[in-house]
Amino acid sequence: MATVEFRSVSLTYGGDEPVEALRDITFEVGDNEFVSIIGPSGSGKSTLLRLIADLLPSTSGRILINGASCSRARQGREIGFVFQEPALLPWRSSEKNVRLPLEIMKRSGEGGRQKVAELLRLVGLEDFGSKRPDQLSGGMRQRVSIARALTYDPDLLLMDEPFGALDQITRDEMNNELLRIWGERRSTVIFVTHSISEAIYLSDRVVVLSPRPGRIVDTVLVPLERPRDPSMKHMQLFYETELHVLQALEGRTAGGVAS
Amino acid sequence: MASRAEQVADEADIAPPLRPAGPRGDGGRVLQYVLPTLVVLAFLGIWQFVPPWLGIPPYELPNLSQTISGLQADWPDIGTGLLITFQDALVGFLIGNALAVLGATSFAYSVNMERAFYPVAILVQTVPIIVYVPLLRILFFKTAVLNAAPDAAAVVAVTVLIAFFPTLVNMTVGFKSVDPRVLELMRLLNASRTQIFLKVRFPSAIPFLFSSLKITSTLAFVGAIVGEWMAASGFNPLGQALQAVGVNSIFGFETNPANGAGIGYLLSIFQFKLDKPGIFASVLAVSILCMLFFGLMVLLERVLVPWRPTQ
Repeated sequence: MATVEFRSVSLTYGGDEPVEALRDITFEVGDNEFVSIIGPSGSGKSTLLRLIADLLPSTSGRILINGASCSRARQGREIGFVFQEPALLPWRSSEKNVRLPLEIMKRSGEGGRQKVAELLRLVGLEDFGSKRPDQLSGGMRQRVSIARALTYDPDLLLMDEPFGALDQITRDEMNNELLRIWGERRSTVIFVTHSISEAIYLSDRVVVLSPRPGRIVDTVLVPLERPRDPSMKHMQLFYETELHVLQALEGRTAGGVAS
Repeated sequence: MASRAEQVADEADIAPPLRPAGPRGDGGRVLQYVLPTLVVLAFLGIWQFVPPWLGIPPYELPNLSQTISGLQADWPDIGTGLLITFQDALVGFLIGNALAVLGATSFAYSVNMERAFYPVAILVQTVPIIVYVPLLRILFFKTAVLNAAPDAAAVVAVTVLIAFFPTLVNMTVGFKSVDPRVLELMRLLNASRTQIFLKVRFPSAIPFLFSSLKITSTLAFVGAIVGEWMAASGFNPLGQALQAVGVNSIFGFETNPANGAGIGYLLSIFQFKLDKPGIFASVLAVSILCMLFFGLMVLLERVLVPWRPTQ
C-alpha cells in the first residue's frame, strides 16, 4: 500500500556544464495504481525513478511516499526496483539471486526459502531455480529479476524499461506475465517505458514527459477495463488512447485531457 | 619484463577472462588438441634428430635423449634444485598474492588508501622487480627469516614482490568491475559495506584474480630462478622438515643438502663447469614444473569460475 506524491520536483545535474534533467514535476500516484511514465530519450524518466528510490537527491521540491520521505521508505525497504538489464549476479543460481535481498536483510532462513520457492513459481521458473543466468534466456533472466524485486514484499515497485531489451514477442508475453503477477500481488507500480502501446496496455494512467528538461506535458487516463487481455490492443478505444499519447509526445496536445 | 604492466592491463581489458567460445563441430574439437600436440612432437623430433645429423657433439648441444640421460645423472642435484625453486616460487606466490588481495581490499574500503598507494603501485610495476635482489640481500643481511639465510630470504622476498603488484592492480580493477545497477540494488536494500564487499565485489573480482594468478604463477618462477642465480641461494623449509622427521630421501635425493640452492644457482654452477647436458636437463625440468603449476591455475579457474557474463 503506497502512495507517491511529487511536489514541484526539479533536478539539475551539477558539474562544469550543469544539465537540467527534470523541471517542476508535480503528480500523484494512488494506492495500488499502475502508472506508466513515457517520454523520449533524455526526458529524465530513469532519473525520476531514481529520485523516488532515493538513489539520487533532487535539487528542489519534495517527493513523499506514504506521506514520508523517500529515504525513510528506502530504509524501511518499501521500494522494489527492476532495471532494464536483469542485473543478476552471474555466479548465483536463479534461486540464490532471488534470495539475495533476504540474505542482505538476514531473513534467509526457512521462511525465506519458502518465499523464494513461491516467487519462482509466481514468475513461472519453478524448474529453473538451480540454473545460472548464463543458462537462461533474456526473458527468463528478467523474470528472475522481477522475482528478486518482490522477495521483501515492497509496497512500491519501480520498473525502469524492464522489457526494453527483449524482442517484441517476448516483450508481449512478459507484459501479460506482469499483469498476471500484479493481479496476484497488488502493489503500486511506476513503470518507465518508451513504448506507447506497452504503457497503455499495462497502466491505469500514462504520464507523458517532454524532451530535456523533462516536464509533464500530459497525463492520459487509460479507459480500458481490467483484467486486460491482448485483444484489447485492437479496440478503437486503444487506438484513440495511443493517438492521444502520441500527440502529447509530439507536443500537439490541446491543453491536455485531465485525469 | 617491461611489458608486464601491459600484459596485466590486457588481461584486465578482456576480463572476465573466461573460456573462449567452444569450437564448432567435433572435427574442430579434435584438431584443437591434435594440432598443438603435433607442434610439440615436431619440436621434440627436431631436437632429437637434427644435432646428431649435423654432427654437433653433446657437450656443445645435447639432444633430447642426451638431455634425459643428463637429467638422470644429475637428478640428486636437479631434484633438490626443483624442490627449492618450487618452494621459493610457491611461498612468494602465495604471500604476494595474499598481500595483494588484502591491499586491494583496503583500497575497496578506503578511497584515501587507494589515492595514496595505487599510483605508487602502478609506478613500481614498471620496474623489473628482479633488480631489487641485491638491495634485498643488503636489507636482509643479519636478519634471520624462518631459519633461512639472508640470501634465501631475499629470493623469497623478490618473488613476493613480483607476485604482489600485478595482483594488486588486477584486484583493484576487479573490485570495481561491479554492475552499477547491482550497487544501486544494494543501496536500495540498505546493504552494509561489508555485505556489498562479500556478496558482490569479491565474487565479481574472482575472474580477475584468476587472470592474475595465471600471470603471477609464471612470474613467480622467473623471480625465484633469477633471484637464486643472483643470490646463489634458496629457501628449503620442506627439505629441512623432511630431514627432521627422518624421511629426507623420499624423492630419490637428499632433501636437505647443506648448501641447498635452487635451479637458478644450479644453472650458474653448470655453466661454470661447462656442463651443457646439465644445463639442458635443468631447463627442461624446471620448464615442465612451471607448466604444471600454470596448468593447476587453469584447472582451478575452470572448477571455481564456471559462470560466464550475461550482460
